[in-house]
Amino acid sequence: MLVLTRKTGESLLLGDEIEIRIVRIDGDHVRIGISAPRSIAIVRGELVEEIERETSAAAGGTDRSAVESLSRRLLKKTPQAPGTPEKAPPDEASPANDAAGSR
Amino acid sequence: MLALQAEVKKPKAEVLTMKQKPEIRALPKRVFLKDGLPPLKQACEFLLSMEEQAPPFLRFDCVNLDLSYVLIDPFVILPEYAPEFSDADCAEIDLKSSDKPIVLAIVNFSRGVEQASANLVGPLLIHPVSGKAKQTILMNSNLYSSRFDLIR
Repeated sequence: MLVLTRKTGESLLLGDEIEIRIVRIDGDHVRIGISAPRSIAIVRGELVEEIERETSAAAGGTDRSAVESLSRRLLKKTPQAPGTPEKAPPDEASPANDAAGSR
Repeated sequence: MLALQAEVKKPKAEVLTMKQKPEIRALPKRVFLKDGLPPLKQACEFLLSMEEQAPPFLRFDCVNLDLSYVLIDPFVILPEYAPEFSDADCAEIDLKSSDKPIVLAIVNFSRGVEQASANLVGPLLIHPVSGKAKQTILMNSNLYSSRFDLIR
């Protein structure tokens, strides 16, 4: 790993399109500004580890009775009273409709 | 019912509600993850199916490994869920802005039924037709939990 020392306000360039600037240093907190094309995903390292841990923990070993039992409990909680919908129809209010379009 | 069936033909958002019948949803049966399901790089191809006996859950069974997951439509458990995906993630599964992706969260039962949770930070983003998919990390990840309790 390349290790460099930078001062506040100084930056690094990664290739032609990515700039990393040290915005502020406050104790053990470093505030970093990143300029990069939108096609580059920028993710906090510990978040990647957290997601991998959760995914690994979720793998297999799920017994049928647990899934079915939770299914019954979730369905019981869903408002099903006929003629008294509490929410707008999903196609109008759904955030999923905007999931890709918002980008 | 007729209205629902008509909507399936259009590339609309795949939103599952408790009241919808699974058989009218157009889910890709096979799902392909180019880079696997991290940290398992070799978990590249899965079969996706409704849990007929346990809605609203879905089964996600790896084709080439002895590996399976339980998934859920995050909008069922959190109607205001509004995930933002990076352009890089959308491009990786050839998702155009006009395409309505399928978004599914992985359910973790490892802490028992009472503590069962869904990962709303790292959902699966699935192309509705090709089945190309990626486990993403949301751009607005700070709004959600990777351990969203299903029993609240």
